[in-house]
Amino acid sequence: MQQDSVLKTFVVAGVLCVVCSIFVATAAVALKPYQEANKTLDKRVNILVAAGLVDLSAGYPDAGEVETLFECIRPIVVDMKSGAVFFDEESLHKAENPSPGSEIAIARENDVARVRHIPQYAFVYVYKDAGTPITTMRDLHSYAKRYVFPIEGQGLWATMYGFIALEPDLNTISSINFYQQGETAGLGGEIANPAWQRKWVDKVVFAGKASEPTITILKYGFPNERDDQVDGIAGSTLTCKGVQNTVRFWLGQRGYGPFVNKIKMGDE
Amino acid sequence: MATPKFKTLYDPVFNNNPIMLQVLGICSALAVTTSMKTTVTMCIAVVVVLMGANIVVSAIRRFIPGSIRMIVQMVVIASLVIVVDQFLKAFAYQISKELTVFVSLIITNCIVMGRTEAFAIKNNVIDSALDGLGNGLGYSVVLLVVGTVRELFGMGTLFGVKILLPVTEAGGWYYPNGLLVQPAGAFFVVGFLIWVVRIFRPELQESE
Repeated sequence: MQQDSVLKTFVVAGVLCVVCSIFVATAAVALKPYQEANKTLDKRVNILVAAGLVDLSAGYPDAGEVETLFECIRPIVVDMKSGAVFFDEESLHKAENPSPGSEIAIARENDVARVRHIPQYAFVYVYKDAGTPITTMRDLHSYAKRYVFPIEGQGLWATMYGFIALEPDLNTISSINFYQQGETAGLGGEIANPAWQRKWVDKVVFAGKASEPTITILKYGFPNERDDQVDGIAGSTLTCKGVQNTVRFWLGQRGYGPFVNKIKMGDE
Repeated sequence: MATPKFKTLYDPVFNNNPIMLQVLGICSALAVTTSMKTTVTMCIAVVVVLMGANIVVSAIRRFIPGSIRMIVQMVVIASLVIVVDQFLKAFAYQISKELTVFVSLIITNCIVMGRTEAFAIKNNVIDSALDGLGNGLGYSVVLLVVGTVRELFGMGTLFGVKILLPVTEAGGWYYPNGLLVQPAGAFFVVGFLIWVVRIFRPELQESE
């Protein structure tokens, strides 16, 4: 093979890079709207699943269906420090696009879910009837049928993202689901299995008058005697520990706790 | 029947299969074959990238300076994979979520670079396209077999539809074999396939 000149090598490399970048950039820009739509749709579907309005085993709903069902969902914004609730568009926008540095850092010794920091303003999704507007705390008390809380936390291998939904008493669990997780398939990965998730239904987060969540995932095979105990998954003790810590963290005083207290006390 | 063109296409599917004989591209074959939906999507992605890379590299083979030959191939492959990944995210979002990083990892799939370097850099565009298609199909045949076995016996379903009713749910008679869903299960199935191929083609067995 004859030796190629240095100039030719540079020219070929340069031209190739330009052509490839144009190719890749065009595809990325042209497809972006579709990808964004997919992401929004997927998030909405997961909220609907948590609220109990969509059953994924019956197939993935189409965009129109989701649009209609989502009229029963009212996103509200919660100040994670004080538990104050905001209903206005501006606050929703602010929670959607948090200003950099506004996150609340969680000290290592308190960070049981290993999230490092949480947003200052977090979303809670309220399930209500389609026609009922919710604009005040009083509306919330009268019309909320379920509260859906986004949760995330470290499992055995990766961060698990999901939702936990509570009844209006903010103690009884109506559902839990994980839409993104990287646990061992067949073992810890079973946290995504609806059959296991159903074991959470009607369990309670706080036993008696406890102020911090007492909900516990038992080791597999242990007798389940209390209504704040959920059966564990065989061979998934560490993943279950992660799920337990995640739920306890987010519903505890460093998570949505202040908001939960506010609603429980009937604060206007 | 066995014209050279046909042979280019047919050889990698049966006689010189990249997975079973060259044992290339094993990592993705293990990772994505837990269910048929992801398997089929992965197969299509690999066929598209393999053909595309072979065609492009073959078309520009006379302009590629020898000293940066491999980097050029890599750039072409990487660009194609990114575009395929973007398409999946736009039009098959659910499946792309399940495939996670394995689509992007086609970039490092030994079969793709192996074919551009071994074939496309020296042959014309049509032959290279056929070679890419053949190797892509060879990869796909194995993946589909492995995927079928793993999903059917590991979860009792095919394409997510219940075929064997598991004992644990719905009171069926079949108890899913969890091992097959694990990466180890894929090793067993691939090993078994290689064994079967070698029984029928004794000339492949290494001499003692």
